[in-house]
Amino acid sequence: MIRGLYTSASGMFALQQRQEALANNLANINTPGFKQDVGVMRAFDEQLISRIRDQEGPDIKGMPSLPGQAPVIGRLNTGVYMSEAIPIFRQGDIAETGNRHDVALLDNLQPDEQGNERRLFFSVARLDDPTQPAQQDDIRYTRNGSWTVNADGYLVTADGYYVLDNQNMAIRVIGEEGDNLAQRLVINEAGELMYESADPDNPGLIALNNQRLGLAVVTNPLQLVREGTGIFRWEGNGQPVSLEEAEAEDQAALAAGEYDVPRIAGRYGTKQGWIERANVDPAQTVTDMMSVLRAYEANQRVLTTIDGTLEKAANEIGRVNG
Amino acid sequence: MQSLNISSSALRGIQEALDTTANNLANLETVGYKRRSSSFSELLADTMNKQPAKDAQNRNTPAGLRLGSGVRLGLTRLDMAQGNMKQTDVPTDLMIEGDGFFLVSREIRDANGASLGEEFRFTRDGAFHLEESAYHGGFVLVNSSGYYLTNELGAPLLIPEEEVREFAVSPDGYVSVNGNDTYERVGVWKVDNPDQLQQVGNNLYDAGMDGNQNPADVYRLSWESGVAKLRQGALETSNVQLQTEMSQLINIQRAYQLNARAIAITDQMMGIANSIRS
Repeated sequence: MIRGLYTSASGMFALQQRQEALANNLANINTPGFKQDVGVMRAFDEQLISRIRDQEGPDIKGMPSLPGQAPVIGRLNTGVYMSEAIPIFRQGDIAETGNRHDVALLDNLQPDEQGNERRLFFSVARLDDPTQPAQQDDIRYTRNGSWTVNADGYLVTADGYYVLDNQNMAIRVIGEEGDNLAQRLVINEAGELMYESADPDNPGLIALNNQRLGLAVVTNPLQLVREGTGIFRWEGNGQPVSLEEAEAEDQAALAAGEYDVPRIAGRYGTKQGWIERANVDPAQTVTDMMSVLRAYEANQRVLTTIDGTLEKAANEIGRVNG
Repeated sequence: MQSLNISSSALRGIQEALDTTANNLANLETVGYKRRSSSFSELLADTMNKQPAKDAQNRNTPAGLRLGSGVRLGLTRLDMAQGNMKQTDVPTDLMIEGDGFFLVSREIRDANGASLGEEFRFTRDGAFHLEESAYHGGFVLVNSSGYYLTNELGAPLLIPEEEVREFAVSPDGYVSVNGNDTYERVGVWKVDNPDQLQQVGNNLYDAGMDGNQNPADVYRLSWESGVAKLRQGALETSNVQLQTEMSQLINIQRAYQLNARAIAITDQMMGIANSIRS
C-alpha cells in the first residue's frame, strides 16, 4: 500500500490533538493561575528506504550500498505525532477581585547557576487528617490562588485541596478562642498570615500562629506533571525547596560574593485580593487554530489524492477494454 | 473529537458565570443584596502514552502527553463588602454599618395549628414595617417576606404598646417607643464565614438552625465585639458596582465568542474528515 496514506492520516490525528490542546487553552482563558500548553509535534522514527527489484541503478551519494542488497534511496519518516504538551510558566497578568481569599503570586526569580528556570508555586495537598502535616508525596503545586474557607475553617482550593503553610500544615483560620477569622484574614506581600484585631483597644494585625503560605521554588518547572484542576505534581529529581530555604541559600551566595544581584530575595510577592489571570493569548491561540485547520485540510487533500491514485490502480490498470 | 467537549464545557461554565453576573446586575437596586463573584477552575487532564520507547528520550517534560479536558465554574463566592447608605427617613428602616446580619424568623405550624418550631433566616435587608399582632400582644417588625425581626434572644422583637407614635432605635440596637425605653434590643449577629450560608432567595440566607435552637448557641452577637452599628432611617443598597459587572460581562462575552469560534473550527475539521471519501 502507498505509505503516504498512513502518513497523512497520522498528520490529521496529530493535528486533532493539537486542536484539543488549543481548545483547552482557550477554555481556561478565565481560570486563575492557568498556564497555557504548547503542543510539540514529532516525526516518527526514520527508516531507510530502498529501491526494489533494481540492482543496476547508480548508487546514491552518502548512502551505504551493500552487495547483494537493494541500493538505499534515503531516509524517510512515515508520520507525525504529538509527543508532548509543554506548559508555559510565564507570569500571567494580575487582576483585582477584592476578595480576602484570593492571592496572586508574582515572581521574577532568576535562573540558577545551571541556567534552569525557577518558578514559585503555592503548595496544596489532599489530606485525610488536616491536623497532621502533609507527606512530601501528597504535596501538589498550583498557581491558582482563588480559595475559600470551608466549614471547618480551613483554607481550601475550589477542588478541595488544603492550602499548606511553610511547615506543610493545612492553614486553619480559627483563632485561639475558637473564633473564625475568615473575614479578618490578612496575607502580606511576603505570604505571612495575619488577622485584624477585633479588640478596639488594641487595634492592628496579629500574626496567625506564625504561619506563612507554603511557597515552593520549583527549579526546572517543566518536570512538573499537569494533573488537571490547576494542580501540578513534581516528577523530577529531588524535591522543590521551600522559599525560605532558597532565599537563605541565595543570601549566603550573595554574601560569599558569588554574584552581586540577589536572584530570589525581593523578586517575588503575594498580593491579597488579587488573582493571577491565565497566561493564554487569545489572538495567538485562535491564529494557531486556524493554521491547524488549514494543515488538517491539506493532509486531507493529500489523503484524497492518494486515494485517487489507488482508485486508478484498482479500477483502471486491470481493466480490459476494447 | 475531544476538543468539541472541551469547548462546550467552557461554554457551559461561561454561561454559568454570565448567570451570576446577570443576577448581580438584576439586583443592582435590591436593598441589602450582596454580590457573588465567579471563579473558574480547570478540569482533569488526560494522560496518553504514545510511543513509549521513543518518548523516553529527548523530551522537555516527563513522559506522556497530557491534555486538559476543559473548565468549569469552580466557586461563586459571596462578597460581603458594605453597600452604600440610602437615606429614607422611614423610622422602621434600619441599616447595619459593619459586620453582621439581622435574624428574622417565621413560625412553622402543622395543619392543626400546632407549632413545629421556628424558621430562622439571616438578612442584610433592613426594610421593616410595624404590624400590630394580637398573637404576640403588641407591635412587631415585619419584613417584606413576612418574617419577624428578632431581638438579641432570638424571639420576635415585641413592642407591647397600644399605639406607636414615635419609634427610635439607638446605634447599639436599643428600641424606645413614645419616648420610653422598651429594653428590647435588635439582634445583629456576626457570621464568621458567610460563604458557608445557604442562600434561599428573597434576600435571605438560611441560618442553619433547627426550630428549637437558640441563636446564641451557634452565633455571636455583633454587639459583643462592637463590629456593627445600626442606623435608623436608612437602608443599605446592594454592593454591586455597575462598572465591575459590565467589564466582567464584556470579558465573559468575549470568552464565549472565542470558545464558540473554537467549536466552529473543530466542526470544520470534522467536516473535512467526513469529506475524505466523497
